[in-house]
Amino acid sequence: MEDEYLKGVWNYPDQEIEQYMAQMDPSFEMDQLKKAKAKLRSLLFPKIVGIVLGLGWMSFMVLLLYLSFLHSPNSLGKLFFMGSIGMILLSTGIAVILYAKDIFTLQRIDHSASVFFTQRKLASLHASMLNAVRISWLQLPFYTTFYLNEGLLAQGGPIFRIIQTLATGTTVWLAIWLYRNINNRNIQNKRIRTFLQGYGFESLLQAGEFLNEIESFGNEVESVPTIPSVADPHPQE
Amino acid sequence: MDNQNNLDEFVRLMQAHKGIVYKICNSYCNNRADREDLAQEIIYQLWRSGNTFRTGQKFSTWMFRVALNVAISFYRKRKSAGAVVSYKEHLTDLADQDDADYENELEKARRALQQSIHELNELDRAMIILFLEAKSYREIAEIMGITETNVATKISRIKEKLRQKIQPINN
Repeated sequence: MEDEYLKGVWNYPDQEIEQYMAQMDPSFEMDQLKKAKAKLRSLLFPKIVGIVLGLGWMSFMVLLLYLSFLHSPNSLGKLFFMGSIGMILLSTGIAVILYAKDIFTLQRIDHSASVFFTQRKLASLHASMLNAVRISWLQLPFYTTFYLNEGLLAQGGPIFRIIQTLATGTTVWLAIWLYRNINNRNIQNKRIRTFLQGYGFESLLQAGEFLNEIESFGNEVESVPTIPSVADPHPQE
Repeated sequence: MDNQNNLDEFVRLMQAHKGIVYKICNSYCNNRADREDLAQEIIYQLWRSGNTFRTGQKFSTWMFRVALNVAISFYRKRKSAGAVVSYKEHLTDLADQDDADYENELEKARRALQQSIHELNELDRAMIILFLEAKSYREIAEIMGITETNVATKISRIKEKLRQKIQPINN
């Protein structure tokens, strides 16, 4: 099939395009600009709400730490409480900062760079949201320790101690395992998928796949000899 | 140049290139509502990216970069949301609407070409659009950010895929 035939078919008038172009006067373009601005703002809104909720949760924990520091007597219980809440705060804080940084970078991405560069950067940014997810899982064991105090440890009895040790041990193991295994390479793994539900799993999965696809797109055949069939049909003047 | 002059110049450039903007939308979206949304987003990003255009740079190279980047991202967002319908479904709808057009062989070939383009991945779509818009391999390489050799090889492979799809209509 000749190249010219393909181009002729491509340039054959499309009624829908003709209709669309007929309505495009200068005021139409101004309207398009306004509508697009409003729409993009509305898309950003849920992400900002997510960040605000994260900051709200962090503020609540800071308040708990402050009240505990001021009002509770020095004891083992205070140590467990402040240590656990502090670690939850740290893990949430890092995750919120990483998420906010990615959202901010996404908003400011340069669309006029080459397609390969821009799309690789976008896919990397989406995929790097996995970092926020894996870090947020690190806080899991501290939900099993913040309530511990001398009284519980002394009077809880052997059953309480066994259950407590099992709960903390399991969550420590799970948090470390998830931190080490949540990455683009393992995203297809069924067990990992279970822990990514609710974090926009499909979008993360596709970003990871697209990242692999775009890497191979850029790396393919760098040194194929120029044969007649691949010679430039319309060289630049 | 003040803001109003910038805006006037932008509108003039958009008027001159609106055909290709819509062709890109047509190649990445199957329904009219999505195409209009994408056209809006491309126009907005072109306006927003205006400060990245350098004097001496070829306008079409800059415009294709922005438009294709926005189109690919838009397509990927829609795909993540599960909102991409197959082009075959879209064609069935069109065929019901206007059978008369189907009498025309070139129109048939145009739709077959459009369908074949929709079956390519989003990066190959960008490559073939640039090829069909008669861009040189050097310009395609510049827009895509890959080597000219890579462009030549990929275009050759994509054309082979299209040939297999469109051949029966061409004969």
